[in-house]
Amino acid sequence: MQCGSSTETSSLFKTHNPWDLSRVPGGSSGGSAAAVSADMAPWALGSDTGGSIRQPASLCGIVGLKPTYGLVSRFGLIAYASSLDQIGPLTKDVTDSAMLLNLIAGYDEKDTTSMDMPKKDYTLSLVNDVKGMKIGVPKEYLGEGTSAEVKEAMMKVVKKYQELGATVEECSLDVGQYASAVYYIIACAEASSNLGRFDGIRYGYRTENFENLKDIYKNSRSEGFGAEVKRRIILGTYVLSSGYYDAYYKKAQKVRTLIKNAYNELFEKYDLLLTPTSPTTAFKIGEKMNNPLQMYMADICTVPVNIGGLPGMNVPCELDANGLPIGFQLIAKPFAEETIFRAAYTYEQNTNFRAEHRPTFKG
Amino acid sequence: MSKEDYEIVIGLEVHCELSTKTKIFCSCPTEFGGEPNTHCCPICMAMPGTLPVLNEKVVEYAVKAGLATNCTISQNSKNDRKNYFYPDLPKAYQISQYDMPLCEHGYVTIETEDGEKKIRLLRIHIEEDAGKLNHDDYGRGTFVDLNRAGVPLIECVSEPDLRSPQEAEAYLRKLKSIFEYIEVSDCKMQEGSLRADVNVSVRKKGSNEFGTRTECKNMNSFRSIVREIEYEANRQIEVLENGGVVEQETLRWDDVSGRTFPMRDKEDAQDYRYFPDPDLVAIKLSDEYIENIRQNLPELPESRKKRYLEEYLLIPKAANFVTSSKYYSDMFEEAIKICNNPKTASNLMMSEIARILNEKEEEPENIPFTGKELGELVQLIDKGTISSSIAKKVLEELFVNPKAPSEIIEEKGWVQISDEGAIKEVVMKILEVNPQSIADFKAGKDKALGFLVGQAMKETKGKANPQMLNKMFIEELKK
Ligand SMILES: [Zn+2]
Repeated sequence: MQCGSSTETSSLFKTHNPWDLSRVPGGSSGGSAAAVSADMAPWALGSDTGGSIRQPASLCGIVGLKPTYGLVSRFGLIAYASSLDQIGPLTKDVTDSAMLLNLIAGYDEKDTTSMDMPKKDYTLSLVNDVKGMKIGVPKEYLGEGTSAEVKEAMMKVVKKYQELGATVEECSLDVGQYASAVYYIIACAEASSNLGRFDGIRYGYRTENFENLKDIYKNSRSEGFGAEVKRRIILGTYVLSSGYYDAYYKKAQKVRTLIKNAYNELFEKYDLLLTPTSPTTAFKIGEKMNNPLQMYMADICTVPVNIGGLPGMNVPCELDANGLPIGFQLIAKPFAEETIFRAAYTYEQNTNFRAEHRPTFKG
Repeated sequence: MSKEDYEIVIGLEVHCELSTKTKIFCSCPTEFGGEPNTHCCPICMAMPGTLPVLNEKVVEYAVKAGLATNCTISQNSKNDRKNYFYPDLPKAYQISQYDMPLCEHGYVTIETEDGEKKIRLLRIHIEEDAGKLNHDDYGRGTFVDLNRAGVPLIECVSEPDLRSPQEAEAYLRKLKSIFEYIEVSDCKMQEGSLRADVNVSVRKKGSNEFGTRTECKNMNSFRSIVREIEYEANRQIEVLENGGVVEQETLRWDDVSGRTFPMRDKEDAQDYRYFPDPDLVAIKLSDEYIENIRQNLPELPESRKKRYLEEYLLIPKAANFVTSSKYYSDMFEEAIKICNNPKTASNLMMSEIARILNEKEEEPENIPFTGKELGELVQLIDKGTISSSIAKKVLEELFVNPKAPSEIIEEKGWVQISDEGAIKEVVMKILEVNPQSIADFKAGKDKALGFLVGQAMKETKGKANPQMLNKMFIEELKK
């Protein structure tokens, strides 16, 4: 089990970024993203709770899609935060992404949170045309904290879409600033409960040091979980405790509704929203290890999408001065993956990221 | 002050296993028994990656229970997680309902010495049962059996309206009877499918404030519940009378010593961290759905009682008795279909069957024969094949060796003697050895006749037709 925006807290091995081996591949599906990026795998599936598909896809220069909550069954996925988790494809290009989504999307009677609706063929959306499409760019994600190079890359993307016939304009998702706080409360609360079964009785690591039942629980969980997981379990336990529930968990759920409403309003006006996927490119291994807060900043652009239950995709677009990939994120309203595919495909067809850039395995 | 100055206040939380075929969140059988861990699957064993799917039958059964106890059914309800660590709980949380139970604000009516009394129900909610821990006798450790994990339960919480152990028993019997009538549970207490957490407190009579209560968990016999309440109320009164304070605590009842003990784990001021289960969608019930269940609710005891009084002309005492349990009531209806004699059928049930069950400390559901046998038995009495005293012996036999009553009386040679010659022979024999009774009768002591008939019955081991005996004795005595 691992969480976080790098793979540094992994209980197994650290993964390196194929574009620069001294850097992280992003997390938590960093291993899968690195493998696809390095041509070690044709494609991979990842799980995305707060950005775990899109952020590593961005840092490794590949396409990563988090589908709408409820589009892909969660049955078989080890739950981290049940109301946010989604499975999605990590692929080299948009076509592969659509083909893979065709295979995994659809209602599953074993997951009552999956949506019962007719199957779609997403490859039909691979159309090189965005004329008339309306794209909103929430200004909040291009402010402080987003690197100059990322901002510059975003401006190029905007320009490209305008050239291709889409209308692109600035908009605002003011309430989005609370998404990270909401995310950490809800995700940690759900995780603290979901990870309860790894208690050394039937599942998970069991300590060898125990004299009674309480020892088994205490020592198994103390010895078995990594620091970041423990941090989240403790936070989640706290926000669900009686006396704090209303102030944290319940309030977070209310804000979640506000964020969803704000998205709904934007989607009355726009077909898609465009943001960076990550505010920076891949950081050095160990750089943010001891600064959880800074590490949490890394998923600031991806987390609101999970809170809204929306589909979001990373599309690679540029390299920074260090030769590290930069990606942009396309967000659509629930179950409008087709719109994302169309816009992403059009961008891909009219640019040359993958043809011009390959991982260098330097460092 | 004495015991009489105090009032006992009791509230019950009754857990009742629903008799759905499958578990609440997977399709494993709910069947009782089976080798350990044979009625389970990855879902009820909490395998990581699995998800629960709510069994719609569970909702239907719980709504039935709510309607039969006059509850309001919530159209919007949800499942919540109750988080705690225990080896019989593989997910480390129980899926239950916290702040939006399926049914709320109902009541049931019980009979008390002072007439009918309404006992209010605060709520009924659905939840899953936990597994079972088997402690190994050879010290090899504790084994977890997950056959019960995920069996659907309803928890019915009463208001603290009960004022005596007898009222508590009557309430529990009523609830049990209702759930049996509407066929949502078999309510078998020995198998643990009906169990109660008993909350007891005491207060000075006339006081409006509740005293501090103690809770005794998982009680599964009427007798222990009555004893526990009596013991616990007396203990609390004693504590108060000696100037002490009752501590709010969870107790364990020990049936052997007849005492309560504080549970060892004092840290049970647990914080369960309830929150809505994100793996399950909200429960939404339409008006039509609820109405449909209401329309199709089986006949409840109150209505059967009315029918028995009006159609079968039972006396109220008999009607109350027969409808007190669905098993009695069903047996009665089956019997009268055969014998068409409601009076004798109900009398046999009320006097003999109830007495035998009482002696055996068993419940009506444990009667090993059916209404068919009872009906035949009544028929045999009505035909004069056996006397009612033989009928009592046949009932005793039916409990041991249930088969057709006609077969029993044949095997045992219990057929009533109705042959005039044979009866006359007995009468003459008894008269011969009881000259004093003849004299008494002639002196106007009618009791003597009863004595003589009794002697004749004894002589024939109860087989002689009592009406014929009576008639023949009078004839002979008047000669
Ligand atoms: Zn199962």
